[in-house]
Amino acid sequence: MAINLHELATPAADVGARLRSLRKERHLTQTELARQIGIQQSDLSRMEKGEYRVSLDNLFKILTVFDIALNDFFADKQADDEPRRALSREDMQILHLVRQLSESGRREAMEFLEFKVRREQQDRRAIASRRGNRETGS
Amino acid sequence: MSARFDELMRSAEAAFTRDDIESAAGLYAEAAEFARGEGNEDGADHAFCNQCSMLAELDRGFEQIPKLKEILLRSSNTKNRFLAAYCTAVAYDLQDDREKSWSYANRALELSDTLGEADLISRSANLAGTLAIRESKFDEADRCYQKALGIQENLDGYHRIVRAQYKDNLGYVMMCTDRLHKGIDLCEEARSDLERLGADHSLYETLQDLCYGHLLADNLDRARECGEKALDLAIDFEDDQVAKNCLFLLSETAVRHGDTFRARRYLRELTAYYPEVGISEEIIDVFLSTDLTSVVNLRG
Repeated sequence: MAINLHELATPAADVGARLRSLRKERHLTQTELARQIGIQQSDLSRMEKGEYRVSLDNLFKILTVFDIALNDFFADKQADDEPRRALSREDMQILHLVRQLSESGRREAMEFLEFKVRREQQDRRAIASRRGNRETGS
Repeated sequence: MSARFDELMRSAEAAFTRDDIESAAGLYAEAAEFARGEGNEDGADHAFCNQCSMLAELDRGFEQIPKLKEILLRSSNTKNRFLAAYCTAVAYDLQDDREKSWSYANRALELSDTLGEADLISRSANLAGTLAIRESKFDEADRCYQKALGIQENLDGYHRIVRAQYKDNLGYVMMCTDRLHKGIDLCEEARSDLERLGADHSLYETLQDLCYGHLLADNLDRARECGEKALDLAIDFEDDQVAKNCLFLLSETAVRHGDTFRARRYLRELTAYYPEVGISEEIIDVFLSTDLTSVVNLRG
């Protein structure tokens, strides 16, 4: 089943703009960053404008150089007062699947998801409690 | 020219035809030495350039750049000057000096126009196109590949393979420049030519490009079929670049299919090619959460 591509597309220009703002946040000049990645400054400049496509090798170098919460590199920036992360494509796929269900199907899916969330919360509490017991020697 | 020189040149060409590049390089070196001993400067230059061309096939030959430049400046033989410019461009490309490579490729293109030989014009146009596409200069690459493809005629087996490669190159440029379906058609044509000729060593790159095209066109099953075949062949032929590209494209295909489990499997294989990064779930998440098809240059 295919997903609506327009929902997912990240135009090269957007990526370029994010690269530029990330570079500026790090107070790096184009020349400095280009040297770290191993490309020409003019190529980096074109990449920031969305005109230059990078090889996978250089893309990995960029991701490594920034050593970031890598998703921030591409995902939309969230406002400071909104700590939730942006919907990933995986999240959108789940939404896409859920939207195709009938109303009763959705209810079942919701119940299952709620069950899973409760179960994981219980597991986390149990693990935390075990750790606490070990630390206090009880 | 002496019979011995002709015989050495013929033997070298035969070695090249049967893919014995090392022997071909040695025979051309012998021919160059022999011609030099006989005072046959043109013959020596010609054989030397062919030797460099063989060394380039073996990813060697940049140490010959000064001698090639000397031929380009000194020789009054336009064909030898063409060969020298062409080999210099390839040698600089191997050194990753793109600016110089581009400059000599254009010099070769000018000289091939002067010579008017179809094969030389198409070879140098294709080289210039390949250098342009690496720099994401798609309009320039389009112009060069159109020229390379437009000029070929009366082809033997080897040249039919080369022509199919030109079709593939132009097809990929079209896919990157909003002519997706024309690009796919051209690459499909290249694919059937290469399959008919049994040219697996060229086929996998075409299949990679078809995977990309069908992915963009949302023909996900076709994209997967092409990508899987391309990946198997690229691994057989030890072409890491194409193998990595295929893993990236296949992961994107799986994501669009809604199969993130399979996508993660491809991406783990991809990250394994980058030991400095390691199998990083964080990087895998970047690829899963972002469509990078318009950011990555498969010929970069």
